[in-house]
Amino acid sequence: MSRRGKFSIIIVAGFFVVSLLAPLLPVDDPYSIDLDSIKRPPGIEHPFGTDNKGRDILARVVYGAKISIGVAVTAAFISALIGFTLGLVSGYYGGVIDSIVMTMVDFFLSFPSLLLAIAISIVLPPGIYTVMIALSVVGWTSFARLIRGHVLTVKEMPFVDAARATGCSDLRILIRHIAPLCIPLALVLMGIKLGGYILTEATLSFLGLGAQPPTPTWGYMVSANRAYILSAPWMVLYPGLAISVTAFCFNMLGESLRERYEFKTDLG
Amino acid sequence: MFAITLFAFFLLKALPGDPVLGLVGERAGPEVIERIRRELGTDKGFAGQYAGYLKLLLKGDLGRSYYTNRDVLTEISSKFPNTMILAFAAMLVSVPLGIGLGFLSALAADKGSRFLERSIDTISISGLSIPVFWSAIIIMMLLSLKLKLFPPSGTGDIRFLVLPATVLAIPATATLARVTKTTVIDILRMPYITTARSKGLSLTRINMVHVLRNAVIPIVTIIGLDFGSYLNGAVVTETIFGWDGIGRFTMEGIIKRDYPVIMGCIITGTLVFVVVNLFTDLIYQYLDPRIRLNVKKG
Repeated sequence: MSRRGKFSIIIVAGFFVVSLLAPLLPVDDPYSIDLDSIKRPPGIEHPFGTDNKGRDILARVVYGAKISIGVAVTAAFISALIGFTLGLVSGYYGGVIDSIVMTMVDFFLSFPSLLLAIAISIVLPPGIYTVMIALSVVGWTSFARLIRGHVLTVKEMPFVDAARATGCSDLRILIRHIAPLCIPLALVLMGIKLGGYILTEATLSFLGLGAQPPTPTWGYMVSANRAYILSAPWMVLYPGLAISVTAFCFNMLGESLRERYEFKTDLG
Repeated sequence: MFAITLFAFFLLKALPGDPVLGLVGERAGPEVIERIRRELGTDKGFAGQYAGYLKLLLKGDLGRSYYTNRDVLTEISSKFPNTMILAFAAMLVSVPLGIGLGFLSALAADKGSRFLERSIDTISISGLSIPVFWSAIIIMMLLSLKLKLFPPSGTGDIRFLVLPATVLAIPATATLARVTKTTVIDILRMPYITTARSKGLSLTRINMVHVLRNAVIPIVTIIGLDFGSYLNGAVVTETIFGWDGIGRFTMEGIIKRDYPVIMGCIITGTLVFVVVNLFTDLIYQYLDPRIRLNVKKG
C-alpha cells in the first residue's frame, strides 16, 4: 500500500478512537447549555468557540464524530451484507434469480440517489436508524454488481467442479468455497465507498432528516447555525470542516485501495 | 416508469404525517377536516388513491398542489428551465476544468512528476469530500455577504447564476478529473501510443488526436451519469441559494408533505435521468464507430 494509503489509515483509525472515546476526552459536555457564554469566538477555554446556546463547539464536533462515522460504517456494512448475499446468489444460480436481482439493481439505479435517500428518510420517523436504512437501500446495488461479476468468474474454476464432484451441496459450495473469495473484494469496496456515506449522512442530517436535536450531528450543526454565519462564522466553519476532513481521509483511503486493487472507477 | 410511480407513491403514502392536518391547522373542527379530505381524495384507500393518480397521470396531469392548488405540471414546467440553466452553467465550468485537470494529472504521472500528480489528486479528492451545503454557505458568506460581489440568493440573470453553478460544479469537476486521469493513464500505456511516439509525432498531436479521442467514451459516460448528481446537488444548492428550480420545489414539497408536488418532482427527476442515460448511449455511436446499438428494424 502506498505511503498515502498508510497515512490515511492512521488518521481514519484516529477518528474511530476519538469518536469511541469521546466521553473520556477532556472536552465539555456537548449538551450543557451555558447562557452566560453564548457565541464566544474560539479561544483557550473553547477552542472552536461556542454556539448560540453556549454549548462548546469542539465537544459537539467530537461527539458528532461518533454519530457520523458510526452511521456511515454501519450503513456501509449493511449495504455490503445485502449486496454480498444477493450478488452471490444471483451470480451462482443465474437464470430467473439473476434477472430478478439485476432488474432490482437497475431499478434502484434509475433514481437519483439522494432523492431516493430523501424519500426513504421522510417515510420513516427521523433518526439515525432511518439514515442507516436510507443509505443501505441506496448503496447495496454496487456491492451486488461487483460480487455477482466476481462469482461469475470464480464458479467456472476447477476447484468448484472438484467440490461438486466430492458431493458438496450447492449451499456448501457457495458458502464454504465461493463466498470466502468474495469477502476481500466486498471489504475493499466498503473502504472505497465510506467517504460517500459520510457525505450523504451529513446531507441528510443537514436537511433535518437525520438524528434529531439535541443530539449533535455535523450536518445538522451546519444547518441550524447557518443563520449566524455573519456574526459567528465558527459555528458553521468547524462542523463543516470536520465533515470535509473526515470525508477527505476516507476518500484518500478509498483512492489508495482503488489503486492497490486496480478497481475501475465505474464501480464506485 | 410504471414501477417507479407505484414505488414512489407507496413510499409517500406510508408517510406518518397527514397533509390535511397540516393544512387546516389545529383549530379546525372534524367536519372541516372531513370535507377537505373528500376534496383532495385522501379519504379513499391506498389502491383507490393510486388508481386515481394513475388515471390523471395517463392524461398527462400531475394533479394539483395541496397547498397552493396550482397545477403541478405547470409549476414544474415553469421551474424546469431554471434547473436546466443551472445544470448547464455548472457543466460549463466542470467539463473543461475536470477534463483539463485529469489530463494534466495523468501526463504528470506519465512523466514521473509525482508532485504535480499528487497536488492535482489532492485537489480532486478535496472536491469530492467537501459537502455541497457547506461550501455553498461558505462561498455565499465570503463572496456575497462580505465582498458583495454577487447577490446571495434569488433567481434571475447571470449574477444570480454564478454562485450556485460554481458550488454545483465542484464535486462534478472532481469526479470528472478522476475518471479522465485513470482513463488517460490506461491509454498512455497502449501500444498505439508507443507507435505514435516512435513515429516522431509531436506531443500535442499525440495528446489531442490519439489520447483524447480514445478517452472520450468514459468521459462522456461520466458526464451523463453526473447529470444525476446535478439533480441531487440541485436539491441542496437551490434551497440554499433560493434558485427557483425543481430542486427547491422538491424540498418545499417534502417539508410540507405536499404529495402531488413530491410525486411530480420524483417522476420528472427520474425521467430526466433516464432520458440523459439514453442520450449518452446514443452519443456513443457517433463518438466511437466500433459501437453499434442493436436496434431492431421493424
